[in-house]
Amino acid sequence: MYGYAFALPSIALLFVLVIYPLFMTFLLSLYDVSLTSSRYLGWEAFNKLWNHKMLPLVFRNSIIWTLLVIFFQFLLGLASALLLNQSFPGRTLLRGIVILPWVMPGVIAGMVWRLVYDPQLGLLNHYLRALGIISQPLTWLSDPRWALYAVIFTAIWKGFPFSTLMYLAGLQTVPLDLLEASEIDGASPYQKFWYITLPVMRPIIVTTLLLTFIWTFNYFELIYVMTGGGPAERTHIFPTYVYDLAFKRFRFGDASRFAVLDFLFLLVFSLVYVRLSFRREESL
Amino acid sequence: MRRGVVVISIVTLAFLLLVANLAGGQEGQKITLNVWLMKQAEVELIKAQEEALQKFKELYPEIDVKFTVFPYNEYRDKLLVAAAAGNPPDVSVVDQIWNPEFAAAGFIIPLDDFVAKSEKVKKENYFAGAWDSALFQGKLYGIPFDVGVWALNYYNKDFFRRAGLDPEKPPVTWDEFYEVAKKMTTENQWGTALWVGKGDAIQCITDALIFSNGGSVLNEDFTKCTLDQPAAIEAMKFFKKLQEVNPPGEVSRTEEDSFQLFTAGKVGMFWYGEWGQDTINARAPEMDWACTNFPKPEGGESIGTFGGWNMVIYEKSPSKDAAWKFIEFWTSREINERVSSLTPANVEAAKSFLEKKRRFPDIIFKQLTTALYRPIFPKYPDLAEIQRNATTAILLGEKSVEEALKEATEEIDKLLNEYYSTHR
Amino acid sequence: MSKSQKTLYFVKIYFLAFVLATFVLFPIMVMVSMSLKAPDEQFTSPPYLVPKRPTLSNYLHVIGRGSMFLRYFLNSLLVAAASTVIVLGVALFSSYSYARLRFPGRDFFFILILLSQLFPLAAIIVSLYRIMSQLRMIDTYWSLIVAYLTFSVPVGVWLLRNFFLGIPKELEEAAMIDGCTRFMAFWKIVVPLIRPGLGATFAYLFFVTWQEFMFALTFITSEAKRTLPVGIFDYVGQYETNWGNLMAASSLICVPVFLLFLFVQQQLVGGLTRGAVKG
Repeated sequence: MYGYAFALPSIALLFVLVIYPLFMTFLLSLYDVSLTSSRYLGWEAFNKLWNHKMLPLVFRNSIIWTLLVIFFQFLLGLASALLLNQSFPGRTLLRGIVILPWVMPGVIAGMVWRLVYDPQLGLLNHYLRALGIISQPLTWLSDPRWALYAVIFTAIWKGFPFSTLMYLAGLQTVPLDLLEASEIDGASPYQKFWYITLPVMRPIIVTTLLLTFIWTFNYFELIYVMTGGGPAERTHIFPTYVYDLAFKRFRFGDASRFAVLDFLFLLVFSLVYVRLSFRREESL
Repeated sequence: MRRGVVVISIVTLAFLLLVANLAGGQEGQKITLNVWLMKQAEVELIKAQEEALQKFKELYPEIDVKFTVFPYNEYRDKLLVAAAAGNPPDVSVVDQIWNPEFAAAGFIIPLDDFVAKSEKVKKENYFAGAWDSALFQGKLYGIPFDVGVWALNYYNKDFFRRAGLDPEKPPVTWDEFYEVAKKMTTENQWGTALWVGKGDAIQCITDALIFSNGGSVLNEDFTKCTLDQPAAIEAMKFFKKLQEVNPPGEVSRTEEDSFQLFTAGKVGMFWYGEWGQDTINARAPEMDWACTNFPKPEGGESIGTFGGWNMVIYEKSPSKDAAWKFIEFWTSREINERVSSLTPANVEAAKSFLEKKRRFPDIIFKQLTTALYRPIFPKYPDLAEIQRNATTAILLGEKSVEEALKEATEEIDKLLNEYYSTHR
Repeated sequence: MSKSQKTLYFVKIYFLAFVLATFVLFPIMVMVSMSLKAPDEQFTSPPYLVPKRPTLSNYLHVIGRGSMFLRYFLNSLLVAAASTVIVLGVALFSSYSYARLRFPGRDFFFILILLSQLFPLAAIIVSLYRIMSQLRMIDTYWSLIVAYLTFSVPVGVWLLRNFFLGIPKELEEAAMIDGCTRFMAFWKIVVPLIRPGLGATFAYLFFVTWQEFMFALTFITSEAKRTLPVGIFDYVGQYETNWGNLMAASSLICVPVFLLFLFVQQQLVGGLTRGAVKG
């Protein structure tokens, strides 16, 4: 039937490019492999992973990183969407400007923010000191206390426009007559927002949060470029640590084990997404 | 219909382009020599390289040289991966500290036979410290290409004047250095800037202090760590003392950040390699600056640490003779001078290079002749990391100098034992 | 609203707009400012934003003789265009079948494709690298083009399916009643209607592969084949970073994607949100 013929290329590519390498990664995780040697470990391999000294830190960083980034992207995205939903001259220009961070390639955003964060000679510290907010320059990217949060801030800046666009489109699906009717009934703007707008936007909010969760959890470029996972490996998240293990230390077995854990964790989240998707499709 | 033709021809063209690129070079009578180098930023240098390459072609028309250049941060990784996968280049430069690693892994070949037969490449032609850095278990595994020394003492004469000191009399000893730095330090400017950063470079500074005080990192045959000896302890105590006269944040600062503090006029003196002169000229063309020798302890010598790059030939190369010819050419007196960005390793070329391109050439030359290289150990990066952690702990005040060095010595001894018990 | 209420309203709006614009533009201003500064103005104490003696030398150096920038640009173009075209070719047919046709396992495969969109690249990069290495594909354009298919195909299929769902079934059904085969209905009627959606999908996929970094860093070795995101690290030296040139190159890299995105904004958001609202 046409169906299979049409769909076949995509399925074939899926198997060759994704399923097969994933399977190989699972296999590789049972070994200890370096550039020059290979040793079978079997299930003992997962003992190694469990006891790996970096696992708690990488996991914790990944969670903090992802949750903070998507939460603030949500807030900022929603707020800017509300703003852009008003009509005023210059609105289209503003919308174009707001998109810029999302369009900027990740590595470039990382390098530019490195300049901004430069402790002695960067503008952020300069303005903060001029405004009296801090007295000593802060070493944003090289102080283990701040480094992760500094990159989180950059990630929020970089990614929020996506949320803005989604929520803007979502705001436009709110039925106007419903809002007008509630105004006649004396509802305040706050009440309109909380009881009408938000519930109507629920599906889009849920989807956006889920998409940004997955993309952020896997986001390699910013941390790699801004801190390299440092200082002293304190800002590593799963993707950067897997890369570090594989291509800087050549410990392919360890890298695969972390990769498997990353994948399984996200799989759980994906199942949640699919469940929600289906429920929505059924209700249409 | 016509649009279809256009589309098809574009697609065909693109396809041909792809195929052409994938097909690679041509076979034939020529030998293709793959040479991997570090990325050069200066346009002049790139031009000089092209001209040198032309000359080489005239000398050896049957050898076709292909350069590939890499930025520093991925260079070692790409080399290791290629070598391990069995398709390394024929020739490459390697950082001095990677030489033992590559030799121990069997990726590169000993060059003693080539040297014996060669007229141009002889030990006397190169700086002793650089030549010896390529030795491993008695054999020579690399020919020095260019060198640098950590460190010269750069100083800003205005700082001296403001502090009421004579700008023509920079400090010579450790005590003098400290005193001068103290006089320079006020609310928002400092005598000098310390740094640790994330790379290997900090060991160059701490090693230089230790060397100057007559100490060393490992013993003569690189089997035992000697960082817990009095010479090293005194050196690190001096280093820690300098914390008082430097801007806060030294542990996370890199050398680049710190040098920028110097060029921006925030610190009066700074220890850096001779290659920094170009940077000062670009960033602070108005500054009245000078260089002098690295400070020495009372009764000691001013000894710096060698940095630099050696040229090596890979075991898997099918054209080793051609590779050797290239190395002879590239490190020869006239060519070496023109194509290095750091100071040439060829002594005569270095003299000429320094005269032409650097201020204070005599001081730099002297430092290059007395400088010592870092320990020759295949797992040097791990050793460097232990040293760096100790330096960090000392600066953060987490451990006393004696404690930190004692623990580092124990860790390094463990590392050495582990390695030597499984490789010999 | 009264006149004063209206003014107050606009004041509030413009104030917020100003804050938002500043937040968004500040780093971009830093980038452009640094790109126009000569080395002696780049790191001063205290730092300042507007160069006193702006210069184009960084830009000239980046696109001038001896610079690989144009080469990297062409490489990025080649890889992004090739992989996007392939994906579109595959996805066009596949997403139509997921949208319209019924066959056993359709939903299963579609979900599988959706799920694969969410897989971390880190999970497969090591294996992909070893596979490519064994096939001697490392350091070839094909390695990147093929690797990019891993994440482009799912996204392309998903987006195009949404666009197909937006076309009423009646059109094809009418055509088929008139005697067209399913394929002809697909090719001659539905596909032309999808064109704006195709354009938007092309733009989005192009834009994602244009800036891809991790695969490009890992699979390509020789300079001649490097893409832009990896190539800008040429300006990061062992001891020094050439910030002026780096920022000039960065500014140049941002321009094409920004223009591209401006054109397709409308369509793209439509496709993304239709998927979000309807699933």
